[in-house]
Amino acid sequence: MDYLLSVQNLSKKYSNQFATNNISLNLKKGEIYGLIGKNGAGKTTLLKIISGLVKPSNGDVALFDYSGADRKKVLSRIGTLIEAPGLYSNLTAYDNLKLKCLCLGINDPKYIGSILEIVGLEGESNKKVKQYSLGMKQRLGIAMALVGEPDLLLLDEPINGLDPQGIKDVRDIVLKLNKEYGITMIISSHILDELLKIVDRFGIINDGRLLKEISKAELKEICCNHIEIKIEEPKKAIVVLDKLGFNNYKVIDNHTINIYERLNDSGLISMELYKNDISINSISIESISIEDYFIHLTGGNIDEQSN
Amino acid sequence: MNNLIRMDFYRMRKSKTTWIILMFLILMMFASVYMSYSDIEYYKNNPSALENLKSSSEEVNWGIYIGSVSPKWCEDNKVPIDGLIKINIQSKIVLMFLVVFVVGFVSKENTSGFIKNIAGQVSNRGFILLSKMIIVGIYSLILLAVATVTIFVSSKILFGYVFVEDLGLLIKYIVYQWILHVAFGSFMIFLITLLKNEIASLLIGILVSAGVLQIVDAFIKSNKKSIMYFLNSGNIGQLSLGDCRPLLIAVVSMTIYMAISMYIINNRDIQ
Repeated sequence: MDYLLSVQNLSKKYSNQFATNNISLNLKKGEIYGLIGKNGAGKTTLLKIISGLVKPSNGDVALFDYSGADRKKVLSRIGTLIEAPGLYSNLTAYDNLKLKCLCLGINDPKYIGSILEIVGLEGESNKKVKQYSLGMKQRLGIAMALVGEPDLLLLDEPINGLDPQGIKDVRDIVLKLNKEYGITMIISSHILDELLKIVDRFGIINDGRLLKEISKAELKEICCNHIEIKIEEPKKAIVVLDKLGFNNYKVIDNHTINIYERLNDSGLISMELYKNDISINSISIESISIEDYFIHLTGGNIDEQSN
Repeated sequence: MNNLIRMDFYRMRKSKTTWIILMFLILMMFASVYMSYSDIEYYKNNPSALENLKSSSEEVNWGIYIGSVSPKWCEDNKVPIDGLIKINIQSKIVLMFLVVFVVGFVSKENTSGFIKNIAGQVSNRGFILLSKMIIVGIYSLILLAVATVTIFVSSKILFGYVFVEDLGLLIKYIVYQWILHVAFGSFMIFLITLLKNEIASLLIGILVSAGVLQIVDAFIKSNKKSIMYFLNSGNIGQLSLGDCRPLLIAVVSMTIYMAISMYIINNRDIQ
């Protein structure tokens, strides 16, 4: 299958620590890919490597089938908003956009107006950036990333610190860019519920490693439902679950085991536990939040403060 | 490359700092000519002070200064505009303003994070610095031109005349100084790229332009020429048109500083 972006065994090592460790992922055209991870998990480094700002220690990135040194030829087809928007605060929004237009050789006088219209800042073009609210700066950051009509947009924490209206504005812009302009995107965020409204597929990243890739549908299914077994002897039950081929389960406490896969097999579980003389207090399908699922996978807290 | 130059030129035009520095330069140049004018009046009325000036005027001054006077101007001769311009450029006031501009202009792209918008878009990141170098060249020329015009106007206002000794030599002198100033600008770009610290770069830039490296002479304890004659800042202070060494030093140092800076930015991650 032809991918717009293909990341193969990508690692970046700083001193003795891996910021990203052997990450591989592929992105189809028109897809919105969500990167979930704690602060310091390696999301920003991964986006910086893809955008050509950081050189990887190992591995390769192929963009439109251009890889290695050839990738430079197509880097201009990536728009980025990584960490805070890179803007000159003493200049107006128009001037900031004009600078990027000049850099890319875009001379159409109407171009800046059209970009500002996409992000809803058409009436604010002559205001200095330092007078902008955080939400407006984020929208202007997206506008900067859109200059040159990129095929791939990398948005790093685009809704971080925004109020509910700001989050909605950015969400609407992202969806509009994807649906109307067909732009492929990678978005990283802490706000998982919000990502769920936008993203087609998730990559969960922890300590520089890509732990799991999961589609929106799969995630919804897992987060909506899991098998919860209330039991007296969890240790014995684990042996049975292992024999049955279950891998994705967790012992919550001395009386509870949660199983996050094969939700239709609760009957089989009951039967096998009964055969092994393990008494079950209850077995039921329960649901968990996305955040709990994330914590289950990474063993950490998504809301840990930025380092 | 052309696009980058157009981008940087647009930012130079739009930046307030560009115009504030020019305004301060005009004020400083006028103040310097005014101080020269008052000193000339003083020396004319105090022959003993003039004798002291004559004996001290042979000493080499590597530092930054304003309002300097040549003894010849105090002996009922007309004050030549050429001399006033030379003394004021040699005083390194223009260089000091250039240092402030380069630090502000070049490091702002990094501190604002704007570089993240363009670093991935250019085929060679070194061009980002090469474009800055062109802007430094343009701005140096503007600084020297503004200083020259201000001195012309100040001379007319204060002395009541503009006396040009040799226009051809004056233009040649300004061109030489321009090349030396651009070379010093390349040193500043190198410092900013290497240190990634605005304050440290500014401090080192001003100290070096103020001749702090003459301290090396004390360590070498040599009777030969001062190390300052082999540095751009030293040659700005003591430029001799009959010698091609200053130009050679400027061109070689500019090439080296830019080559290293471009190597660094091409191989360093953008954070």
